[in-house]
Amino acid sequence: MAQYYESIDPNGELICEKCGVPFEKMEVTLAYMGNSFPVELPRCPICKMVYVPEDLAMGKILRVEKSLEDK
Amino acid sequence: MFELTQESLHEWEALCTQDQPPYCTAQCPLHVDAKGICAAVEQGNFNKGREILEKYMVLPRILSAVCEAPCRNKCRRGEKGDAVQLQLLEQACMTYGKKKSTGSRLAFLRKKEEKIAVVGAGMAGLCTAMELGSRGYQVTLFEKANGPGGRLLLLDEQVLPKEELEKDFKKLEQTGIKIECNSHVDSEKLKALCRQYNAVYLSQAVLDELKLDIQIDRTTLLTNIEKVFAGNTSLDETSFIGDASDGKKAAISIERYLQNASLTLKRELEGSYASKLFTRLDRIEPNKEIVPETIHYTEAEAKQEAARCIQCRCTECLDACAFLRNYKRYPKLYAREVFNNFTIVMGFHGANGMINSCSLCGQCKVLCPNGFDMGEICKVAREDMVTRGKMPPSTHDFALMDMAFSNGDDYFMVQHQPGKQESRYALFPGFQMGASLPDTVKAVYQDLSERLDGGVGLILGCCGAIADWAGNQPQLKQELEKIRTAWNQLGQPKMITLCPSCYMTFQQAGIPVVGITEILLQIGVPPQMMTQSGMLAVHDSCITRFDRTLQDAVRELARQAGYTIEELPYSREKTHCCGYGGLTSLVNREVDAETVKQCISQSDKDYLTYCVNCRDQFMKQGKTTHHILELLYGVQERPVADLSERRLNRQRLKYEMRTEIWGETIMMPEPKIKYEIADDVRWQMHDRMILETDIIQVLEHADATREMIFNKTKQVYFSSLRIGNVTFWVEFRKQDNVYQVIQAYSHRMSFEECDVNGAVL
Repeated sequence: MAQYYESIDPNGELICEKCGVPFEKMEVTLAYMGNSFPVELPRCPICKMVYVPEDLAMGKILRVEKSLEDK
Repeated sequence: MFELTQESLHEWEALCTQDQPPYCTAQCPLHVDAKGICAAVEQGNFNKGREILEKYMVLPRILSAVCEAPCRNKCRRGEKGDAVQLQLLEQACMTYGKKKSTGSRLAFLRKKEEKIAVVGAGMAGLCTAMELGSRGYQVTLFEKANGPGGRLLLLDEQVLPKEELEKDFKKLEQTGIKIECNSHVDSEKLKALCRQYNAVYLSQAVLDELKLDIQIDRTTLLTNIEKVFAGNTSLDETSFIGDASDGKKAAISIERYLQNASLTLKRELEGSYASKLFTRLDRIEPNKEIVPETIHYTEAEAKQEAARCIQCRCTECLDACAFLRNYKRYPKLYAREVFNNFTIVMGFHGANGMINSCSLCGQCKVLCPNGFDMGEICKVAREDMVTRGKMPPSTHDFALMDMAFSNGDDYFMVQHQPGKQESRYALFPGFQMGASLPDTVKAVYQDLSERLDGGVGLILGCCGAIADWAGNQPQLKQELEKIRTAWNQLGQPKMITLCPSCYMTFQQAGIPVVGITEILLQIGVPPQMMTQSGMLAVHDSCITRFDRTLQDAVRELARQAGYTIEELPYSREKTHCCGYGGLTSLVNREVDAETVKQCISQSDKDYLTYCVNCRDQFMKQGKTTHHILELLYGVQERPVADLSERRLNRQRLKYEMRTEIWGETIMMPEPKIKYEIADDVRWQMHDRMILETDIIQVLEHADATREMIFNKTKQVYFSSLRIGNVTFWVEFRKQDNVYQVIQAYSHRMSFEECDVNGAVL
């Protein structure tokens, strides 16, 4: 089983407005400055739109961005 | 400018005297930490004082009694009253301080194989023996008299009580030093000692007696006889502290000799030398030494005397600069960190944050007695990072984009005065004035174009200072080229600047420039000026810290407006940066806040500035601050504009100038959607450096594509859009076709497209 840096379940709460289907937990690869991180995020199974919640963006993602920038 | 090399690092390091020892310690042949002792005793901590003393003196009772105290001649307190009575303080430490329980240290000391003979048990021989004995060597002390002590035994009981002497002699035994008294060493005996021992030390007295034809190296005390070291005290003034130092020097040499190490390496700082430490005395009140009631200090007397120590140290730059204080150390160490950062190829560049937090203002260079300039170091480091592609992308991205905005279609414009075909002058308000005080800019332009002859053209744009601060010289060159083209287009007029940064940038680029204050002094204050009264404290601009003409012009204009002027402690060439310079406020919030706090706490009067960045920085933290042009033109402006408003203000300024002054018929671009953003959300966006225009783009995209995510539980939508290197997210509700923004956030990471199983597509 793949190891994920983060795993977030949509819990059936999120709907893709365009495709009209619920989001599912799916793998996404986040990339920055030549590094990539497989994560599981809510995603539309049809159009592949990804959801990044605020606390993830302004928390963990921001911290990782900063540390990669200083490498 | 300089290059980042080991040589230049050493040159920088030599300028900062922060880690030089105090004058007393450098003068003391044993380098006793007198400052540390005073600090401990002042707190009544005699135990600590004793612990420090015993670290430097192997025979502390004897030495503290007989020391000639050369420190007193160099004590800086002595220039403001009497020098500190360190010797009495040392004795107080030995009397009132408890011995640190070091019994265990001696018990666990690893005995070494090597045997050393020390001939002569006077001060120098005793110290040599103790130094070596306490390092674990097997030491035998030979003395021709029937006991150790030499000249010490001749001293008056009042100077050195027998009891004290005996206590220290006891330490010889505890250290495992064998003493052979009544032992006369002649040439034959010396030969025998050389055979039996690994090294031999001869004291000066023994040398004199033996009448040996011997040569002694002054630095190492090694003689021309194999394995023999000898005292050299007669070459110095005879002093007990000198003898003790000589003994220590011999011990160091003997140990190095036994370890086959270099005898000469790094010995320059043994014995007395002069400290280069800078210490300010002008705020020190003179006072007299505490004279003991009896021969020695009571505990209370000792505490009082210790408190007289001024604790010599150089804090000229640290006192003034919140950035330098933020990293808890001092410039010499910072310089090393910057250079280390430069040499790291792979791995963590720990100094990036520091390098990018300096305001590059040059205040430290002015205040440092040796002219240490942290700003220059940081600037060179930034330029190097940019050149090598090592500048963290997020650091200056926002500022550079903002500069691009200023020199793009939304703000940039070049025009002769309406109805004129030539421009003797061109007003260059700069982008910060346009962003913060757009209505004042309009008033200035209208005034100048009425009162100056020969045509006053207008150039709206950014001078490129942002690129310079970001360490991006190619970008600076490009922006300056754009300005130069505009300047040529208007027939090379004299530029009138409203911002000290533009003024300085043009001056350095060789574009003729005059500051607005100088112009207004020449042509008189604007007719609409309302005379006021009151007192204002002038905060000088850091970028023009050496421009006295400009500084005087501002003060004179304020007087003409009816104000009296208060000078701040840090004014003119010593002025603080407000925290905007060097882009500090966008890079390091903590340093920014501390910097502003220090600036505005210098006086409780309202402030007067002539740089709009200073004004905004101070107003942001609630300090009433007037830009000189606000006073003179009396235009009511918003107190502080957030980042989004600063853009809108520039756009609106250009639009209004074109419509109202040049009479053009144009429309301000309107968003395709309706939206609402509450004030608290606006300030959150400001802190996160997210602009209203970013939000509009996300919402317009969402509106056009329906790419939105609906959260059923919270009944809110989310939508995102990648703009440049950043993905912006907006959380919103939709009501009656109006997008109500709940919050916005962003990330720089991007999504690699992959299929459901994680394989990259």
